[in-house]
Amino acid sequence: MSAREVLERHRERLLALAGVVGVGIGEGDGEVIELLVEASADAVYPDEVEGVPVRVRMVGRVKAEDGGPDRASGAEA
Amino acid sequence: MGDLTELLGLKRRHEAALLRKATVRGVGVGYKVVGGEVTGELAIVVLVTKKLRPLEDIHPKDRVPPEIEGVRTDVVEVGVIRVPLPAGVGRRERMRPAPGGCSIGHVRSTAGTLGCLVRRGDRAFILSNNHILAATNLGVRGDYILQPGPGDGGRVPEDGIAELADYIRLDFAGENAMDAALARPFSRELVSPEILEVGEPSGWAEPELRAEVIKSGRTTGLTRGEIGVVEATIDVLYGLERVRFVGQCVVTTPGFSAGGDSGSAVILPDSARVVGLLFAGSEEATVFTPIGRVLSALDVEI
Repeated sequence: MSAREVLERHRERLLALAGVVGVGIGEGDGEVIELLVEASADAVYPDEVEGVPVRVRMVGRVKAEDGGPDRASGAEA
Repeated sequence: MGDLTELLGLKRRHEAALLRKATVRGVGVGYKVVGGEVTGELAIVVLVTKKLRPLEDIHPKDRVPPEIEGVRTDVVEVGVIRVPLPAGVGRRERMRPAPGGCSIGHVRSTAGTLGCLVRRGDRAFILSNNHILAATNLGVRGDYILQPGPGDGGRVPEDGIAELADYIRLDFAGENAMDAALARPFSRELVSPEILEVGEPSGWAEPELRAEVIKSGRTTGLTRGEIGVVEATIDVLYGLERVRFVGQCVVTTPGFSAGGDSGSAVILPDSARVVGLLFAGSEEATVFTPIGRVLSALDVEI
């Protein structure tokens, strides 16, 4: 089964893990499942799902990127 | 081989077809250069961003023919032709005509980025996000769009440049495919088809994993990054609410974008093809929607 098929089967479960704000397909040694995590937490994430490697990536707070002068420096909205 | 007048006529007849090829950025007439030496032979000079070899790797429709109606072509590599910022004018200031990459916003938004121009028939529209051009579902057709955006001092009516034309509603409870909207410029002279520091897009392409991309945005200007994640489902903060998006791409290069860059076109640097519409990000990552889906949902072309 391809990484994409495995991701489809487990998408909702992975998105429900603590701190996870996104999932997708990335590339490591072949295709991998990416877990996009808001902040490092105590949560433990799987190393692989059905044989597909999982990469955990800290992305911080992902926000819609509008901005006025007050937010120009990237400060909180 | 004809004289210069004939050659200019030939160039005019074939110019449009040549400019449609992926890497071609310009067409002219000049003396053919062989091994660094200018010869006495007139040629159709084709300016490309990058000479791609071997020829077999190039899609046949994107290959420059060695000759046209018996006149030789001379392919010259020029790199991506950048459009410099007008001296002394910042991206957050008023620009006429307004190019891609400058500040824009609905009268009730703060500010984002004018992505690029798109077409429906012979009409030109400004492409950006719902949360920039429609103030996150608040806008109604005909509302003022300001350049610069209100957060950068844009005011009604003097900075009005366009009216809200169409947008894809954001669903705060369900899954979203994009954050996209169109505005119709009050006149064609108010906007420019060029994107600051990039030039005019040459069409669009599907984004691919690991591809290098650039964007030209109101806050962080021209930046470069790599597509690290595709087929992403991601929850994005709109104020305090999390909104879910599916089928997205993520640029995983830190600093690729910041608040105010929303609406930027994400572009392939060598071919100047648009691959996405940027709408969200953090210090570490930037989220964009594959452009093909945006164009078909809004029924427009690049």
